[in-house]
Amino acid sequence: MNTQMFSEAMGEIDDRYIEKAISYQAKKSSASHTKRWFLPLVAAIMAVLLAGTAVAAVVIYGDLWRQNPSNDPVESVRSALENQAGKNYTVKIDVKSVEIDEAETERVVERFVKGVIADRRGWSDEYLAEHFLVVKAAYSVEYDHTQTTRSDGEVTMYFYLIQDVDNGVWTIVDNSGNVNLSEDHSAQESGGLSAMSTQEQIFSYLSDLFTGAYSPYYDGLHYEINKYEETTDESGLTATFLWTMYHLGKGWDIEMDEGVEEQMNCWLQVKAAVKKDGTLDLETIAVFLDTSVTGPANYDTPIEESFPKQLTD
Amino acid sequence: MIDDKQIIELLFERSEKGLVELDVKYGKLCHKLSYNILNNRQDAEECVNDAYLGVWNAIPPAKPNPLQAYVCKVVRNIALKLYHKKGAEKRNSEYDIAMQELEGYLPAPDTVEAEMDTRELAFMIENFLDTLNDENAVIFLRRYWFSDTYAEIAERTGISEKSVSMRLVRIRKQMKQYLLEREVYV
Repeated sequence: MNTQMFSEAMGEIDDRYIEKAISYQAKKSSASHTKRWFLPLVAAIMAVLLAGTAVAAVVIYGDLWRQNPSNDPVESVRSALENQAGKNYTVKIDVKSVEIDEAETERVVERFVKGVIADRRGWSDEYLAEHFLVVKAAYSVEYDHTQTTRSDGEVTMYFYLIQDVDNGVWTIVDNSGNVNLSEDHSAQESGGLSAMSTQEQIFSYLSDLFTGAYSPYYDGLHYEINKYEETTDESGLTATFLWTMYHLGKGWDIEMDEGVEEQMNCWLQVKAAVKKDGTLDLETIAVFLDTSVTGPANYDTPIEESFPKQLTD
Repeated sequence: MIDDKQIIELLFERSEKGLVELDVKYGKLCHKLSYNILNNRQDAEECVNDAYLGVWNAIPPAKPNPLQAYVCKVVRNIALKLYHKKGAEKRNSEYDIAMQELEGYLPAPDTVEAEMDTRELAFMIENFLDTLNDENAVIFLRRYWFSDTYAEIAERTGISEKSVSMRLVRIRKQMKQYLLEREVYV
């Protein structure tokens, strides 16, 4: 039986995996505003996709962080943070620590930069090894919430910097994303899936899916379902609805849009088998995007195909 | 509570206090692990006692580091032997449920010859785990190595039960794809 063989093989994996699984404890605290969904290189990716290069975006469209690039990457980040005090929505900011994070640098390079991004930018492994860094900063910040939806409080943010080979100056090309909001939707979860309506189950599933796909790119993700309709037959449930994804603007094209909430709308169709207890069978769920421009809806594209590709490269 | 090095020293001195300290430090973990597999208090107790005996016989000469993972492995192996020996189908343990989840995600071979041996498969699982982030690797291991419930994993990782469920669905899909791409059949 193949599960037995799999189980036996699991018993032979190296001790370090077991140790990690034993000692692991959640790092997140819902009471704090610690940002740990750093992954991104977001704008670098978005700028590559939309406008050429991240550096070009910084130069052409303005500097999000109002940084004073320095030969010391820590100073580049520190200046950027301190200069946040000059933004009209910043009430106060207190920088606590700024340091190079070698482990995070390695992780981000391996997972996100190597491959498509590095190829397009012409970054060799050697270049990345010497001219790309992740700097970790801890600070407390208070924003004027009449002017921005950015969350404030105690923040840990990761900054991605590249170094100009000619003059040695380090420039921030991006910073990390925001908390994974889909996993903070715990209010619905007291009774698990069976305690949720079908629409809530779909909402929950999609929130998780979209956050997984977009959290490296956008801050402040949250979602909404409207115009929900569902039908059920022998093959299961079919639901159609308007899905809205909210996120905070990066300000790459218009600087004043930084931190301003933006939205993306699309029509989705969800198909899934329904279990005896009324919950959706998550293993059968399929989500399709309406790709019609005009006329009747055309749900012919799996939603995953519309997600940014870098994460899976 | 004494540290692992001292426990091993006691076992090297053939002092039974070494086993007492081992139980003080890791007894709860061992009982939980064996119970998750066996779903029977008496069997779980028997399993842990056998595991302590196994540790007593192995140390010395063995000097395991980390001790915790070593003891857990001994417990798991003995629990699985007992599980198969005493009739798995009647247990309905968390281990059963976890293994049922994996059915359909383990590419089956066309021929017996195409099956990998256990060690090779373990190596592929390790490689697959290396592709996951820490949190997902822990979720996967807690479910399919420790047979933890979703609620226990949720508590450990700080995410919701629902998210654990969804993550596991995705990880299983990723694993199937990973194994298929490498022509690994189980």
